[in-house]
Amino acid sequence: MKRLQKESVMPRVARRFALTVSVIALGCTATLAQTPAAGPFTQAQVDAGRTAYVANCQSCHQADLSGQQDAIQLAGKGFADGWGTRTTADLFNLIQASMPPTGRGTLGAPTYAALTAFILHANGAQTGTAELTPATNVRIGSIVTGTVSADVAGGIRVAQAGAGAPAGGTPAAGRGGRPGVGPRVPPHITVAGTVSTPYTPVTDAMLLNPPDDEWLMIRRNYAGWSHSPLKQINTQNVNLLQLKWSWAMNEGGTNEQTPLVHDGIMFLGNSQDVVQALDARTGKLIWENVVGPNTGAIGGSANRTLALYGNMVYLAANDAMLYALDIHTGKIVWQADISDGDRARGETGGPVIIKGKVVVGMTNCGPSGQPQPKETHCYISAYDANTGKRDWKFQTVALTGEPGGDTWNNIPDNVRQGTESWIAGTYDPVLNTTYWGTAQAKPWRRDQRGTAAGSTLYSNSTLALDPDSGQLKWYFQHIPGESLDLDEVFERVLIDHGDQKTVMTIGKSGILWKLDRTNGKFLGAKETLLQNVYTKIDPKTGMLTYRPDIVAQKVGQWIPSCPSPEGGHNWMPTSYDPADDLLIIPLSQSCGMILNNGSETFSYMPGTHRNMGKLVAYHTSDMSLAWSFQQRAPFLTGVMSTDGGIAFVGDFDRVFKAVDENTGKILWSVQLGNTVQGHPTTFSLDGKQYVAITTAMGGGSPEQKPRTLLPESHRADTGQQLYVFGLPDSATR
Amino acid sequence: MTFKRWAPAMLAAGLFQFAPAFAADTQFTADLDPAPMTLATRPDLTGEGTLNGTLNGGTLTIGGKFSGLASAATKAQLQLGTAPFLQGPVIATLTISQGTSGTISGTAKLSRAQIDALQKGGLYVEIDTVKVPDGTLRGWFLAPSAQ
Repeated sequence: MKRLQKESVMPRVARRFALTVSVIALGCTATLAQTPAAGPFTQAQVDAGRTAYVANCQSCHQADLSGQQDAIQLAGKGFADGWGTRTTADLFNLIQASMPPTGRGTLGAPTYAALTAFILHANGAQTGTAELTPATNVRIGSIVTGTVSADVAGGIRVAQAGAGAPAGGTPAAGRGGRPGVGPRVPPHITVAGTVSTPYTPVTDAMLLNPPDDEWLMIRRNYAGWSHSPLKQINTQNVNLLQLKWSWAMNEGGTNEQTPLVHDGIMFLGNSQDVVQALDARTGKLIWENVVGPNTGAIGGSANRTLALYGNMVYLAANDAMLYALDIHTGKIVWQADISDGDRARGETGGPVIIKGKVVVGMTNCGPSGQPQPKETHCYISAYDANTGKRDWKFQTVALTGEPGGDTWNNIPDNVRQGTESWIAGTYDPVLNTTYWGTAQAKPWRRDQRGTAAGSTLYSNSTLALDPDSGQLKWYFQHIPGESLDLDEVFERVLIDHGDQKTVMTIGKSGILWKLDRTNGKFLGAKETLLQNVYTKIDPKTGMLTYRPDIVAQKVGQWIPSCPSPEGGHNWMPTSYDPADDLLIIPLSQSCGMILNNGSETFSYMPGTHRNMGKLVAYHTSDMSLAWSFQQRAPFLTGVMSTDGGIAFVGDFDRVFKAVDENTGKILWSVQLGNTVQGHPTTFSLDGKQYVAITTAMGGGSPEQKPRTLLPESHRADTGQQLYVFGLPDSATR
Repeated sequence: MTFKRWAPAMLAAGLFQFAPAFAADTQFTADLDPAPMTLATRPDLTGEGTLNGTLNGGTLTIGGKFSGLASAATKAQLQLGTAPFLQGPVIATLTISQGTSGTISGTAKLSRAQIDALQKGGLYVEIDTVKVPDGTLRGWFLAPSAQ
């Protein structure tokens, strides 16, 4: 269903108050001096800062300082716009307080000063004679030009980075070289072994009707329910759960994994694209393949799931390479390049197998707003599961002359960025349709990207694609022209009510959407927590009306937003129990001030008593609230429900818990080694039901906001671990 | 929820406007939370508190307490937004203890538009301190049913 590209008329009351609103504006448009003064730093500091940057920052912020995902842009117009009115001391203090993420404040003041000097240099500031110190307090707009310095624009090179810099600093390292990722070590088996037990190839029929005892794909079934029919563990005995085995996972990078289980083998993706096969009964490692591409860089992106089909396990790697591994040995059978040689792209959502095709999304499609040297855009694509040959792709950005191409305010095609699909899609075999979400356009704020009131198709939309051809059947754009990093990319859950076939989704705004999945018609919306971004949702069309100051935003103006870019809802998926028609949704409650890509400040959400975590259950038939509870720590796992009447979920403050699915009452909880982060799954072997969950580190907003707002929550910098729980033997006889 | 959660309070306000002078007071509460922060600014943005607001005859009477500030409070003001977390101009200056903990009190005669804003969660109290003079703690008044 197509939607009009327009701003709705503000209600009378809102208009009246808009006249009196004074949005915080810590700085108006940055005024950059025509001839900037010399910077308050030395060349020696720039050189030292470059080396420190390569070693500590580049893996996230990129070799050209253009940033990616939640790692903010550190050079160029976006930086100048956001920092022009702030001071060198502000920049120093922020870097020292927050970086690097796994060792904040550990680099020492001289190194933080050097990093500050290097960033200023990268933005055109001229070297001076005085050393920059923590006390140096010069307005950044008076010394930077807004133009990336020549030695940084193409990416930092090894010779520039100095002898102490890791070799991984080269933007052309290894297999095509993804800037900032590190040297590409060829994939290799680190633990050789063979799955010796009988292994039944995974078939289309199994994926259509997953065996009760198994977990074959990210949310267990094609409809995206994250619900298991197992019920040995139930409301009466869940309090008896005990640890059966545990497994230390690869440290470094981001981990948001889904353990998959088939025929007694657990296939486990790790950060930095390490793939393992484990005996699901004991946790014994059978084989391991370090597929890569990372080598320990802290900025590695998440990999949320593997996929199983035939005798192969599929990995969509962080650098947008797709691999098929032999399940018996872990050896690579084929590999395919998802992004046609552009190693700056990525893939984090994981593959989904549909009718013999491996279907994947794409991420890292340009947060910088800088023209891309090679015109590439995000797309969803499909590959033959047996050979890796590409079958189709659907580009998620509408270009000039294409349908929807007129929704980008006529900006050039090579700066139409974003609209990533970084969450795996779902599939309706009857309608022969696969459903995917897309993220917002980039840069996040419309004032920066220059798209004015353009809706920027196909950003923040639900896409219905033909899995045979990749052809678009219909789309519904939830948030046209989004401007505050509020994605609508997350899970599409397929739910039927009699003859009515719906697709439901919820994004960072916390608005739960219901669409007719046969045609994209809007059926309803429900606000699940406080939001102040939209003043109205049209009950017939779903069209949103933005707050006036968001429409009128100016570069350099801070814009308040509830929820903050943490969401509302984020990558942690909902569960759906068809028996009770309950959709259980993990939510986070925080607000923020948004300046530009990644320049944000955070606060508690009014009315929440500083409770950041909220778990809610809705009846999907009428979208009525069944129950809700809130807690101090936000949830960092998806929800998994079972026919045992239980829903499992984990949180930032290391607690994994089981709640009564019908009431939300907490029935069991355990404190684990670190943040409970990932996708809980369950499986049964030898008549015993198990529950698997990971503790993990890394990630964007869902990790960053509570790190700031929960100072009492102390966590180690390591602790990526798999835990498998079960009932005592005495309770399973 | 943005609007529906405040519907009871809005209904109460409507009754207030057309009810005789002996109509019951309308109660609001607010948590005082730190202004938006980063890891760098967090040390100066500490503190907490609670406020009660009683609306009677167009007059909002405010009382409350705060503690845990990183520097002494200097000023407290009632301010006008349009919804929770949105900021706006000053309506009234309140009395506040000049320390890192203490009490807040004051009254403000509200206009019809300001009462409307109060019903929508738009009115808030801001506390300034020596270290953060442009807003250390803020608390938006909400009807109890909205929390």
